[in-house]
Amino acid sequence: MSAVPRSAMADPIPAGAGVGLKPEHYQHILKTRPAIGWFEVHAENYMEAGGPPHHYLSAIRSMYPLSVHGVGMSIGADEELDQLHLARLKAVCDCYQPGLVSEHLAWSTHEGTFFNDLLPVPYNCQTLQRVCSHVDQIQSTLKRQILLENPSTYVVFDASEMSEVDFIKQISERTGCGLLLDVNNVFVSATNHGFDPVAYIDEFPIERVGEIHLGGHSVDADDTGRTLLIDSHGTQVVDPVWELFRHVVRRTGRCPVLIEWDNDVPEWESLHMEAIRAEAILHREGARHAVA
Amino acid sequence: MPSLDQVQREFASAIFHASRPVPAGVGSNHGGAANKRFAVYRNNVVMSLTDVVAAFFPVVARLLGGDFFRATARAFILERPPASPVLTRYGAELPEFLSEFRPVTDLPYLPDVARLEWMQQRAYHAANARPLTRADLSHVEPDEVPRLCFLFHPSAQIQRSRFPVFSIWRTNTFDEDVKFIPAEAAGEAVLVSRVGLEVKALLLDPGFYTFFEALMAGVPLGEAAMEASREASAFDFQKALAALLDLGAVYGHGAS
Amino acid sequence: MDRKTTQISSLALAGAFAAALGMAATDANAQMDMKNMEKCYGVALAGKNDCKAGKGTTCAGTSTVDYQGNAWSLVKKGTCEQVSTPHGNGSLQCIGDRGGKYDCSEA
Repeated sequence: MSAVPRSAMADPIPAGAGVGLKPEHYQHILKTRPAIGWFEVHAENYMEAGGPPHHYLSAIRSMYPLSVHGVGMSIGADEELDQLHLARLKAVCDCYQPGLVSEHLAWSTHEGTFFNDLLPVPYNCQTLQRVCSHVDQIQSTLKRQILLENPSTYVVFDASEMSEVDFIKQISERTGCGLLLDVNNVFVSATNHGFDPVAYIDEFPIERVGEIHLGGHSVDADDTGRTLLIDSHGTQVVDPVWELFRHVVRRTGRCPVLIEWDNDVPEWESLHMEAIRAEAILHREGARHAVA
Repeated sequence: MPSLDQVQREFASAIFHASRPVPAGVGSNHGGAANKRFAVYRNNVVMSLTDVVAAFFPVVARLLGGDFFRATARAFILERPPASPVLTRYGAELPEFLSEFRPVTDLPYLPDVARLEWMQQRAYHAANARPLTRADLSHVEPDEVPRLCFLFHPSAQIQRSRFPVFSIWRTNTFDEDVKFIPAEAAGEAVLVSRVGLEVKALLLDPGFYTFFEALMAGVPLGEAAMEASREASAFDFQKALAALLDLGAVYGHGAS
Repeated sequence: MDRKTTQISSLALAGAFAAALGMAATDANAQMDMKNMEKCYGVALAGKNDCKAGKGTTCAGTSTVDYQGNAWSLVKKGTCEQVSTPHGNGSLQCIGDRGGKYDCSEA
């Protein structure tokens, strides 16, 4: 295994398909060097001092561009950002030199307790100020732009005063952050709250999208028997989400797109098939975008 | 309108208290009750953390069995939820929790088994350090040998239990059919260390344990060997030193 | 301990030290009771060696429901009855079917 070559240090994420890197696939990837554009990892899984995770990620980083996706920064919390955690995120970025860094529009920490879930925020001016201040802090600490991801949500707040798209648009305008458009999250939230996912995409500030996520969800029902989708990342991407993705690509053109599969992680081949499918859509719809 | 702090305080509190109603101002666009919607968050928090605990403590989980383990993990999570988003460090307090958790007081060995599993979890993620090799020590003069002190690898830890903790761990880790371990079985001591990418556990006899414990406390080699000989007359210094090197447990040395 | 004894044991120590360094790593392994030298997650649990890393974080939810089981009301169905405890009654509480082997795939 070679050290990270200099040319790889600034590897941008290619406008093609990548997959979320899972420990189950470390050895297979190193052995077979599959044809895949890039990988994404969760920052929090690489915040320990040493051991196998760093060993494998360093080896894989020397062969592929890497994107770092944070899941624990709690950007949507009213309380101050955890400076120690921000320093850890910076250390991961300094070490692995990712082409993209992203986080979530959500909160997960409250008064010293970490909930390990992406909890929703009300969309109003007070939240907007907190989120923008947190995004500013992260971007100035990391000395780079981050991408902020739209959430999957299961409830709505009386305290919300604006739409999710308006809220996200304003964060991006005020902080200069880019956006990570999770198409499955749009579909899940649209189903759960009864809005039109295509209209959401059409209103979304598409010029700020630096990355797209695709993942699977599971189906449940709420108290009234209405369909409730759960963003579980444990299955294949479903057809309506692929359809919505085609619509997105007709707007964005070719773009980095990631397959997320975090629970019940399948064999590499199944994951790779999903990425190939995404790549085919990028190719076809991206060409239409170019013509249009 | 409630402040963001108020919204999050109530949301957080309702997640951990399943008997509490869905917080005011949290609901569904379609009207009607939002219990099942809010329950998604309750499930996500408890189940995802239960999975974390199960992954770090597979032997504790096997000893207790699926439902009982999950109920125990749930009690642990609600009482001692994680304080940091770095979940590889979540579970340090499980041994202590188990020692106070009434439903498992009939399994007095359980906290020590959890301790052994936690040592392995820490060893897996410990800082890297190049272990000492035989060649590194070949220049040591004979008269320096008794005064040698070792620096232990960040992954190296020892544990002594009054229960056969290694045997319990081993049969529950490697055997399809778990072997019976009698009550009168002697207590055991274990050295855990990461060798390359693999975490290894070594059962220590009393001499080895005394020797390693002394060395870890910074006692020079000669004195540690004598302490071990006093503890166990059959203590084999040569074997003990070889084991230390084979397990990559030391990465530096100096003279006292 | 008089000076002579210390002197002798120092010499013995130096000799054993040299002998330990002279042993090839494999010799040392062979001399140790191999049963005492179990490898952890790497080898014996082939294919499951990454479980100790944990499943890692996820930015996803779960479709599994927390049934709010109470450990007080449940019977232990794991392998704990295979470990006899000094308190005789203890193992009696471990009655019932022994659960299937716990492995990471159930996690």
